[in-house]
Amino acid sequence: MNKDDKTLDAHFDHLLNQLEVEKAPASLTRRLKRIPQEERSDKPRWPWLFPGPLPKWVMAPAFAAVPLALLVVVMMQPRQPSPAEVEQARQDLAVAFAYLDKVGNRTGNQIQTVIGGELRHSVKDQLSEHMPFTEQSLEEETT
Amino acid sequence: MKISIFRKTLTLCATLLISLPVMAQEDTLKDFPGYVDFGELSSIFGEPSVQISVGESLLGLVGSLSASEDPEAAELFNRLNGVRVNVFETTSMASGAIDFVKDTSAKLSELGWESVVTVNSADEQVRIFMMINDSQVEGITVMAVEETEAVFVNVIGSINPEELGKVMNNFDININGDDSEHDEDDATE
Repeated sequence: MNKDDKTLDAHFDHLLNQLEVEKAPASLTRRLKRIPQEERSDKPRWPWLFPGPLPKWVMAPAFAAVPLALLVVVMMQPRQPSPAEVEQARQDLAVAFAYLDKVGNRTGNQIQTVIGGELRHSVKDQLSEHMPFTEQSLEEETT
Repeated sequence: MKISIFRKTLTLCATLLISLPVMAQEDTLKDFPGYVDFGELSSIFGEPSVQISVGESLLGLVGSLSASEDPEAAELFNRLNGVRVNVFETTSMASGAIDFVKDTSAKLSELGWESVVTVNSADEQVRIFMMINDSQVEGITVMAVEETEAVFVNVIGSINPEELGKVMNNFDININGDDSEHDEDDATE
């Protein structure tokens, strides 16, 4: 390298040092910074299970599963019925037994219609041993 | 579109969760020999006017709460596993009702239920069945179908019929809202 070349190099260095660094536009900077993240998220996490890129909604059931799992746990807990529910159950039972009673009475009446009042007693006496709810109509009848 | 699928999934999950306890209760009752699956009653009789299903836990609580005032009832309730009632109000004998009662009766007989009472007429069908194992009543099933009403009752559990009669007498309830039953009795006398 001769003297002229060295002078030329020094001149270029001087000129380059005088140049200011040009700033890239903000939008371009943001876009460039986003590239590594996008490349990472596009890669399938379990390539043997999902060979292609995962659609975004795939994660929705997973997020929904958390509150649902909590709800299941809460609902599976044995809950003590309230006094109102117990009273309702008692009334329901009363209605249920009233229907049993009604069918028993109706059956007793049917027996009487078919075979007559006298024979009804002997039939119903036998029946009442196994089905006491037919007894009540017999008691009402005798009173 | 994606939101719609997500909402549908959530709705489906929520529906399943809400129906879980009911299904669980029915499932536990199904294991008892005294349980009867009546099938799709509403397809023949329409919507029920009365539908009652009291499970074991509520029966136990009712039993323990009524122990002081009615020990016999408490004793009975503690041994019951479930009480199910379906009542349908009809304006005429529902189409297929008689066949349904006969088919169900045949199925119950095949399953080992003993027929206790049968009323078999064109305008009235009554069947009362009991499931008896080792001289112990484990279930009572009543099917009573007439022109204006269809009643299906299934009492599940260890039942002493004598106790049942006493407890029924203690319940003072008139489901007709009048004295028609008593009047009928008096009239036939």
